[in-house]
Amino acid sequence: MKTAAKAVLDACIALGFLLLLEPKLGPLNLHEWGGLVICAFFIVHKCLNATWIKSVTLKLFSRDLPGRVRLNYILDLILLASFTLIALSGMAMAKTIDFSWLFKAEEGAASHVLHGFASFLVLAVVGVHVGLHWDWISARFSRNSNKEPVNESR
Amino acid sequence: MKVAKSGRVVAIAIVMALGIAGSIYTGYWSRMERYMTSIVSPASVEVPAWVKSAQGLQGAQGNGGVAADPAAGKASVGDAAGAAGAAGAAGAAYHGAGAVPVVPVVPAAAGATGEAGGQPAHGRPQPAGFNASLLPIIAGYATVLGLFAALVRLAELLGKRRLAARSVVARFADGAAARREP
Repeated sequence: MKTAAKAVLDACIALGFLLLLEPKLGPLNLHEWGGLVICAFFIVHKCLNATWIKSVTLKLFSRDLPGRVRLNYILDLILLASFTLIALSGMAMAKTIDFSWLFKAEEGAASHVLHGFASFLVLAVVGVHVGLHWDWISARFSRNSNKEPVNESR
Repeated sequence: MKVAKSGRVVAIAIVMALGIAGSIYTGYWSRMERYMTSIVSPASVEVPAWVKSAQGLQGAQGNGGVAADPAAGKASVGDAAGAAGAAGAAGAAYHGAGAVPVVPVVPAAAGATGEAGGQPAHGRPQPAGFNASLLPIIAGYATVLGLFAALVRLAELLGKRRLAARSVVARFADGAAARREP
């Protein structure tokens, strides 16, 4: 059940993120609120994998930790940093949502460049993430698979 | 469903080809390059012509000369600026049509906020509803995601094949050594 929820959540994050890559696809408030929802989903995704994160963090510098797991962990760190950057720069540029109560930021080149750069970086890293978890994804969405997929890295 | 290894390679090749085409269509690499340039050396980035013209427009408004008409403002600054109303303030933004935001949003003149200048232009005006004409761009981004995933799968597949080849060579060498022994 938890695995199914994870799969649905991940699919929602991926699809939502792709749709948000083009701000002109819909009204600006949809882009801004959608971005916040995706960030919330991302945090939920991390919470659902908290056990894995904790266990790998404790063994991160151990020689026993497989390289693939370490790579996944580093990619996750990059994703976390990028999502944080996207959220903060997006809040600084927000037109339809007022974030002045949270922090005072001036809209400028830095916000736009960082927002765009982090988004494109996330696109690439999510691609690599999907590639690394392809066995899990294909097992999850395979019609013939009735049993829970086994994931050696997570 | 089991897919033969050659079928997998073909599938990966197709996804990669689509991804390369999609990345070119969406301008992924060129935009990424411009973002990198902006981050590494922001001073080297030239101010685009449309920004200069928008600044010129704002200057005129700042002097209190002409109260811009929104429609006229949009037309005069091409696809880049949203123009102000009676307050004489211009709010301009970029995100231009395919152009990368490397230059700051032009600050609103006469102390007015950018919002007073209406919608940020982003190349085209922000749609009120769903803009289905941009779905091919989204599909292009999806293929870019697929390209990176396919690259990882290809690397894994090649790694497995190399391991398999090594084990075959090792087995052959072991067999040969065993035969040589008296």
